[in-house]
Amino acid sequence: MELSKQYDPKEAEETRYKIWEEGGFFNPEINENPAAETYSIVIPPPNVTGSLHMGHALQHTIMDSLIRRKRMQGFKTLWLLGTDHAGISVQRKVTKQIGEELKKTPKEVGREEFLRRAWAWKEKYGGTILEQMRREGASVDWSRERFTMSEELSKAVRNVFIQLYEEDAIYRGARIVNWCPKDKTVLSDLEVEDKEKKDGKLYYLRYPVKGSAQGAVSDQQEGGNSTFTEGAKNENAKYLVVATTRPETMLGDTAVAVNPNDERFKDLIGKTVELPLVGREIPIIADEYVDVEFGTGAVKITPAHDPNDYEMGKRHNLPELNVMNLDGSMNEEAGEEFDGLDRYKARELVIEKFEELGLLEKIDDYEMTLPVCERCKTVIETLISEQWWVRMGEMRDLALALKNEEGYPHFTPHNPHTKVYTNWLENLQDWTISRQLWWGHQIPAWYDEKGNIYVAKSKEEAIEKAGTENLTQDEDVLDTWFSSWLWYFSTMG
Amino acid sequence: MLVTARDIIFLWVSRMVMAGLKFTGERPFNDVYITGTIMGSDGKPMSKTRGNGVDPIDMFEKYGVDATRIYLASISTGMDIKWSDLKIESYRNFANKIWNATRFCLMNSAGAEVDFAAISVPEVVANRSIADKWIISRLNKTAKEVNEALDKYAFHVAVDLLYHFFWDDFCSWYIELVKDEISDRDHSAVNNGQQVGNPLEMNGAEGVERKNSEDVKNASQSEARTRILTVLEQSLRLLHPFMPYLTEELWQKLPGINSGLHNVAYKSAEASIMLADYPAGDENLIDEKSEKEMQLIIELITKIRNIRAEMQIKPSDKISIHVSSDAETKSIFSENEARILKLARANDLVLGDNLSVPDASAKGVLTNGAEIAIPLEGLIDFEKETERLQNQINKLEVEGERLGKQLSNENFVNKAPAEKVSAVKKRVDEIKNQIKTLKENLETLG
Repeated sequence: MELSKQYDPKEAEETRYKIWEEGGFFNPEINENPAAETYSIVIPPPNVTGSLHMGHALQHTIMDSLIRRKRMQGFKTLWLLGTDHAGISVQRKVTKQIGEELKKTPKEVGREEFLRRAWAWKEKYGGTILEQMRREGASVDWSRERFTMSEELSKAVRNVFIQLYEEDAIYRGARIVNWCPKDKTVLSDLEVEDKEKKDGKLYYLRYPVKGSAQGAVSDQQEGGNSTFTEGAKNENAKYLVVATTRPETMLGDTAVAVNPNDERFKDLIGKTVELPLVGREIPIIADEYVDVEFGTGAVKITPAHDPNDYEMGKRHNLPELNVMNLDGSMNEEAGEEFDGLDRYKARELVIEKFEELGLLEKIDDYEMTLPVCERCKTVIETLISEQWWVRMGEMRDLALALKNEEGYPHFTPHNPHTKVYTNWLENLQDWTISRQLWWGHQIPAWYDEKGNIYVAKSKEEAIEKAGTENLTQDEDVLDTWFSSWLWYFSTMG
Repeated sequence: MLVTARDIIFLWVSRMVMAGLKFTGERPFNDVYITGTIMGSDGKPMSKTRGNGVDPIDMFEKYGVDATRIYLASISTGMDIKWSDLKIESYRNFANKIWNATRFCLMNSAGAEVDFAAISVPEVVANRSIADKWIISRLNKTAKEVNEALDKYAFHVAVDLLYHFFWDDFCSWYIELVKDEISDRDHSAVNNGQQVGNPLEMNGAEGVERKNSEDVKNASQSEARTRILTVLEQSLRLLHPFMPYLTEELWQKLPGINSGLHNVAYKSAEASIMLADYPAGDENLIDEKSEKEMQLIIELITKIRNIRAEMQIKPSDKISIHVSSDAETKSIFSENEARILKLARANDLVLGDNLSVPDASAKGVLTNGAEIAIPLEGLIDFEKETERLQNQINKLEVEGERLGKQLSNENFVNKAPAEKVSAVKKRVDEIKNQIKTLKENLETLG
């Protein structure tokens, strides 16, 4: 047979894939050996917003070469693929679309219409990456292609949710969370990135110690010998100076903490400070967690707006005062002057006022990292919010035992992934699974008028459990990864 | 098993393990392969803002899917790696090489077809020429090592093995070694200028004798063609997982292809390389002795070719090769004299225990200590060559001096980018070596 002088890859690629796919060469059924061993690989679901990038091409090449060899060795090969619904990404795209086309917000358009558009978007664009995978020559079993929001998977998701809820491994609670003020949804720690900020500032604020000689202003007016030193050293001292990068949060302070072994502050423990601008008296507490090397050695504690402060607040039974709205502006708890002000404007105003009162010690240049939403890069806020959580303890222990005792899964390359994996498991926190989005698996929980929760497979079942028809379903959807983690066995059947 | 990038080990991999254990009581997979990140050619992560991104679709358009795939597999070490346009181009060239080699074999395939039995029975193979024994050994060793590498997810190792087997062993050497055996040349015309005639038209005994000898030659040609086609077919199977499109196109064109070549699990399916049995490599066909011997011959010919290039001996000029070596080496070269003469373009191979050659001879040493020499009388214009070599040396010395001055200039060393300084250092070393060789050659000319 004659071969043309030059190889034309395009021609081969265009015609050959169809022959393979239509000929059933990619289906495991082509293997006639009833005793054949199986070999399967599950592809991490690329999301519907995705287009092929080099990382995908690399992964698919690896997977396809493994599958093709195994197939040629007589294994019954199953290479499964699906797309995941990518909650936030699609939500954003559709929100943008209705903003441009209808000049409306999702709320104005309503949930039903929003979802209709989301499905239409998915139909139109969700297949892009799949076509690109065909071009790559990927010998995927397309007959078994799945979508994370298919009937089947949605059922599996719901059943898992209900099972965990009934075991009390899923609960609803108010805890400190990462909040993206732009997307207006909670994010898990894994969806938050660190961004470097080279031109940050560290603000040193003076909090007058209650019971000390006089207030700052009168002393200044007297012009007497000032004992206004950093980190006041004795009972006669007037201030406790705290350093912070987020002065606006001081409006929600409920304590100031020092290290119990810090000589500088030993005598202040148990006393109180008068919180400027707000007027509230808050205690000076001692906690091992405080780093004597950082700032002044005294830290302001805002349990509602910082995860470490939150923990400390639990330890010392401090009030959790939420001073921010969900869009990143201050709320009424922050005081009249600040209510409704954007967080950065509030910061400016706080500093202005501190300066006027002579309570601004100094401002240092400070290089720092800011936590940002991994997708939109907006600086996130931490605040206390009612969300759905999964207790990870039992599952974590199972996974750790599997790794430590049996060595699975086996990572290639071994370093550094093995250690990173086990370390992470050992420090695993509860998983926030609710998202304030519409596109995704709606949480199978209904509320009656009194706010009682009924978790059920369907509204009908919830009504039965509640004994009333007057129920509303939880508006939120589940974290996309809550369906992806079930991928393996829900696709394998 | 699972293949994924490290950014979702926690988001997905760990959670799937936990879900599997919790809801099914079983671990969902045993192995996880974590791919490295492909950086832009500037060494930084690919991003739109940096403008250093490479779109795989563009690569498919420019180089073809298969070249892109095998390039990606070649850099899969699990570590982060820089994109290289030069490297993917070299794999595009590899794809073309595979195409051309196949085309050559097909053009010389009449009367033959793929036949695994021709290269898989140890007793039969043992009687074949050293070139055949060698390539069959190389094929089986490569298959074995490729499978071992893939079992351990060492993709870059597998690609390297395949690349070198096909390009160096199969194309550069085997095809060259058996070219005469498989080419469509009228062998009878070579018989001492005798009249070329159609044996069927001849009368009597002469005709029968001529036909018998023709048949023998044709039979041996068909066998040689069968062998090379079969080695080629096995090679395509080995390459298929990485270069599916190219290998299927070529496989379908080989004579003798049918579903009988499939793994037993696919007996009734239509013929496709996708279902062909993946070569496992047969230990019994790995012939270390033949590999060692052939390696020696390859080294000899390579060394001679280098000398020819260095001394600028015309390709059409036949040389005389003198070798002084131990008995084993002598016997290996002696057995393969015809091949050596052909590939080295020599008309004389003198084997002995020591070299007795005129002073004006180019010399070399093989790794096993054997010494070789090629008398240069009549092959080069000594005066001209001496002049040329001297000019070369002078040019290089001037360049070396200039670069040396650069390197002793503190300003340059401290201020210039590190890459530039190291490039200069490298060139200085290169020049030193080149001058050394040229001076040696100059000495040879006396």
